[in-house]
Amino acid sequence: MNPTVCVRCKGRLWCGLNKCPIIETARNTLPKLSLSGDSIFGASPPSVFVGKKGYPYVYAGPLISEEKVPFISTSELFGMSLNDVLSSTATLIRTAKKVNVRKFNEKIIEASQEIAMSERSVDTEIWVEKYYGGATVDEFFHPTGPRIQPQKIVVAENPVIPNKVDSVIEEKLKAEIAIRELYFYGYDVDYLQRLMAAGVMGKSRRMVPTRWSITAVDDIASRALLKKVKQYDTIDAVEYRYAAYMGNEFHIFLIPGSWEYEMLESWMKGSIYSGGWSVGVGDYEPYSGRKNYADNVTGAYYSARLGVAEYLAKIRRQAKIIVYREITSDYKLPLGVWVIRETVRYAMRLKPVKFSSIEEALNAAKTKMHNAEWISKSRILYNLHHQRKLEDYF
Amino acid sequence: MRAKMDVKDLKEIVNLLLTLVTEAKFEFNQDGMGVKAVDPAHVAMIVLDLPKDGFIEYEAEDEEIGIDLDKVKDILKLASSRDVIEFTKEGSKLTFLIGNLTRSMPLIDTSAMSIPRVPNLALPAKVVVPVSDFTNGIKAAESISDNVTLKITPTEFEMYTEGDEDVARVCLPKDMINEISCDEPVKSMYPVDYLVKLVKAMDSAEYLTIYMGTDYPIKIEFDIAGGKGKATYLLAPRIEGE
Repeated sequence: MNPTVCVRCKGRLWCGLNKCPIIETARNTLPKLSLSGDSIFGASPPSVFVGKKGYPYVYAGPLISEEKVPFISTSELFGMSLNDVLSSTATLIRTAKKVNVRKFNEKIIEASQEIAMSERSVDTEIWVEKYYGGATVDEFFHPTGPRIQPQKIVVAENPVIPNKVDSVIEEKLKAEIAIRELYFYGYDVDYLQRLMAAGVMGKSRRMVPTRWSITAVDDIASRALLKKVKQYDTIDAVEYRYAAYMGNEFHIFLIPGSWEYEMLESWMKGSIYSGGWSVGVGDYEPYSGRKNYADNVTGAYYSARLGVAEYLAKIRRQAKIIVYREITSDYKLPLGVWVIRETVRYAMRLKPVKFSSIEEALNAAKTKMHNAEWISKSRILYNLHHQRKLEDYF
Repeated sequence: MRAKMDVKDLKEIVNLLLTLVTEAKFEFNQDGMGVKAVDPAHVAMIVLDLPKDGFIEYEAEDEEIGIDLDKVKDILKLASSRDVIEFTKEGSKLTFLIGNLTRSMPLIDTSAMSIPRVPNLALPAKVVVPVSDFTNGIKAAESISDNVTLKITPTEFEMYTEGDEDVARVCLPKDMINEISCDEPVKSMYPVDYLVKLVKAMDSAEYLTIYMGTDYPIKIEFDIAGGKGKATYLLAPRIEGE
């Protein structure tokens, strides 16, 4: 294994192996859950998982808990200890049946869609065909409990679908427009993500793998916010914030000027994917935005961008943003990009330390960093350092 | 102050200013209208001049008017490009008239808005190039990097960009350029996002007159309002190395 590849790939199997050895090792540390019988009855939080392996033939189905619903939105998990997160997510049984993402002829798809559209938990009964046990971890989605193949699935309760959501779905708007509209209306990104995954939105309806739909929603919502943000005046001083959660340490810099965004990561020795090495990666976008996928940082890039875009939209200002993430040896399991989104959101709620120059801010931040190598790799810092002003030529 | 002009011309002026600022101080006098704006980072400046003849009707004393450009842009959305727009200053308000639509907006207090100083640059090289070639060079650069390097030699004008792996180059030899005057080759690198916004906002220009030095600001002159007015755009360089 080559850690410079692993920290970028994060389980996407670029190495050509059948299973990611890093993720498999992490999975095996998760608590195991056994089922109460051949049929299970419980509530879906509501939640739906759509796999991506074999696309367009993927494993998909709702998540169901036989115990009390542990959480509805991942934003509720923020602040919990690793053990608490794992014990609440481990109760979520993942039903999975192989379906074609474009053919809605299976009962399980209909059930998934009903559940996905609901704002509240939905009681569901499932007859188990096959029990796979184990647990699943993913870089994008929160961990889940054992996987089962359902024989029959019955939604035992009417889902609660808000009128607004119903009307947007009925209008058959393009998925991007529908998500934008519902996001500005105030719906949680997790809700929008499961609507997208379940394939109830858009002109040509299809299920979208959970992993892709998470990033798509983060991307669509933050781009919509940034369209507004780019109209606002710039902030007037450099702002620095620091927040840490689950072995993710964030150093966030806001610099006066027109919008630019960069996220850099250092995977420290001992963190997942990095092996015995420290590895750095980064992605950047200029004022005009980016046209291709942030392939080095991947989903975290978009989740963090949403966190800062929400803040800038709220204060009605624009800025150049550098998000530097250090992943320490405390990050042993991929927990999903909600960790990134919620930690950045939390950081942006903190009162910043203000500086008159980025150099001063970096000097102050260095005392908290394990590694300052990224500073020489940052495109925003390079450009700021090398950009002259007109008054240099008076 | 009262003036009448083509909607298309005002749109172009507002779009050009909006590439750098959201508010601007317009200066009016008997001879015409002028406006200067510098972006918040002090990296770029635009100077626009539209003489009296560029208007359909024009009457003004020496006056300064602070205008919220986003609002004007919204007002212009109500008009078609073929329309004529009239605007009148009445006290602390500016009133626009398009056909039978009237729309008033408050002026911005200009006391806190300074008029930017224009640097006096001695730039040794000059080329006149078609806007279309320049735009191609900028658009090619945009997809690769955040910087673009411009070069004038006695025989050609060149724009190039290097990304981590990709390279883009637009090269115009002397015989494809309308005018070139250069003794020694000059070369500077500029932030591409500024130039992207600039070329998008330009509407009337067919040619750009570019003045450059080595590691010096670029000065770009071009027509506005269908050739009735002039614009000058200055952009500070990025210095390579160090």
